[in-house]
Amino acid sequence: MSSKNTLLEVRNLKTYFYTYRGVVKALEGVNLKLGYNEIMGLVGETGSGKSVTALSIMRLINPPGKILSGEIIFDGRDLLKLSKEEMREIRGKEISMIFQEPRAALNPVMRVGDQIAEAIETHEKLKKEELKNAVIDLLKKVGLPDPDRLINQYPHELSGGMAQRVVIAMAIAFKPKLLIADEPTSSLDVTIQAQILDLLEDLVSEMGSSVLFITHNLGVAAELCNKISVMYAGTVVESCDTYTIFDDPLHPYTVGLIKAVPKMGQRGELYVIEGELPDLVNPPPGCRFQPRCPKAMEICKRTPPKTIEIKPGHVVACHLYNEG
Amino acid sequence: MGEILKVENLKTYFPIRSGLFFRISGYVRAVDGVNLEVKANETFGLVGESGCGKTTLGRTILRLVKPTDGRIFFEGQDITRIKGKKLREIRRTMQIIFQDPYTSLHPRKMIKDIVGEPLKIHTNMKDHEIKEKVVETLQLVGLSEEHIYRYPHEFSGGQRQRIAIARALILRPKFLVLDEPTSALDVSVQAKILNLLNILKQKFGLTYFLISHDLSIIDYMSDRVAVMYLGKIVELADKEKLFQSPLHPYTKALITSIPIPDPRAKKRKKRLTLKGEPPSPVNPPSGCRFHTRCPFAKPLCEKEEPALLEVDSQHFVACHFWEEISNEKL
Repeated sequence: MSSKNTLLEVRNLKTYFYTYRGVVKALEGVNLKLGYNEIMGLVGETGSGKSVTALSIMRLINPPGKILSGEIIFDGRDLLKLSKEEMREIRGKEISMIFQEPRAALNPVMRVGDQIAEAIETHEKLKKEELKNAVIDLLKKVGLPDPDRLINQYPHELSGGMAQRVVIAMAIAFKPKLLIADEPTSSLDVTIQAQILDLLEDLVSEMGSSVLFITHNLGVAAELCNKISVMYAGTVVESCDTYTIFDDPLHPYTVGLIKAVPKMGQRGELYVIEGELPDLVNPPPGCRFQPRCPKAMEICKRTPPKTIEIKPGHVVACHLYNEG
Repeated sequence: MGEILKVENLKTYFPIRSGLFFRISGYVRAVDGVNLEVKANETFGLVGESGCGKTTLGRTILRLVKPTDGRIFFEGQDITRIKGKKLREIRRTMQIIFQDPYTSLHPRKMIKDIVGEPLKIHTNMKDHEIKEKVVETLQLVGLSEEHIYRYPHEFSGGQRQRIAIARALILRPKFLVLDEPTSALDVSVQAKILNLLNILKQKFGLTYFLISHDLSIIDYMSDRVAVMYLGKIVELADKEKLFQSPLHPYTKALITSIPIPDPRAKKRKKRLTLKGEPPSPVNPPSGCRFHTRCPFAKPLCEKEEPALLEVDSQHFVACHFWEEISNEKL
């Protein structure tokens, strides 16, 4: 993929957290490439660094966390080199974010309408009447019934699904080029999740946005995303289109992860990835997956694998596939 | 295969109190007339969305919550109203594993005390006997003697759930309620716990009452499955029947809503998307409780509540129009 088609490229991103227990090496050289009109699933287990990646892209890492090095090229600009003011211009306008717990993402003592209006006013000055119309339009767009009444309600009066629609309304106010969704449906029931996924899919294709969709649910990723990147312990271990990742996964972790999920109709014992997630204060030397990897070799214990493009669009970080 | 548990018209209401004198102003009808039977040595799956009453049903069966009406039979004995010594006796054979192993273990107790506590309550074993039994049970769940003097915070989520399983198993119960046993865990850990539960079931001839909102886990683990909506069972059948030919529209919506980890599946399946959200169990809709969200609802559904009927051998459904709907071929 040439850089012209790339909306977002994350290169060798390192984010550490300086805690009393020691330095948590949360991201250790993350590489990601997201094209225009792409929905990329960022998949991984708890603590793999999915959310830290998202927050790093938004430059929302606060002390004790710090982005140490790397580049985040968004639409031709390195976000890590921008000033705070320039970054604020981008947040909510060009890149916006949807969070996991919708009711925690909303201000509990502010009316729904005012919160959305505030999000709009941050970037655009409108007259009162225009502002109200803009808010109501947004609420209609995300499929909320009776928006005139809704703008005067408080978040606690909404159900989880409705609250998530409100959060989505805020996020799409300026038709962002990039939408980062951090487990947006994990706290919702399946029938509501289905509604929200349908809505996101429609909105994104209408706006022509790209999405970085963070999830631990492989099923959700398979349904929604056209590309998938798998994270393990602070690195992206594999990245390719959705069909390939399920048909022909290369990295032993990806293989194990897909096999560990019970499929409908599956019988017999489930595949198990032995061992536990490493402590990121003292990550294992070499490849971080090496202590749990059924195919680990000598070299894996010494050198971290390079990320290489095996086939066009299929990237993997594993010594099994390094040259030679 | 005989039944180990039978529930008849079980109701559990929680009063809502308000006003100056905290008068009862209404009820949350968490479980509202449930009939079911669990056979010995089977895994009975109960699915439903949050707030449908599945956890309350599980707890009422164990008598952790007081039933409002109806009867519960365990191994033929009516346990609906038993008290004191009799209740304690029954509890030896019925145990529960909770969803969140981070809150279900006492943070300031050592593992040997957490796992050994049921023995202290139910037996008069001496300390060294209890310790032996604890070690033996920990080994069953994949932990070892070195763990017994540690505290819960020293363990990962998966290990904590193993500790909770050991605590539930130490009295060698016959019947276990598994309330979302893996939903707080990651997939790779989940696989280990599910495998362990299946091994233990075989080994001790256990009966599981598995509560989950995750259909793929229910499908993987269960022999028979009941679907719950707003305090009522809407469909109950053998797993194969339920998943291959669901009759109730809610079951169909649930099954078609679960995301399948196979990118080709999406094109194959036609999703039945429901409108709106589940209504409140304080004021359940009249007639069929699902009619407000049902894409096939007709005037009758608003007026009359459908009974849970056996429409095929061992396949129960509570819907007025299941026949018409299934002929329509979704």
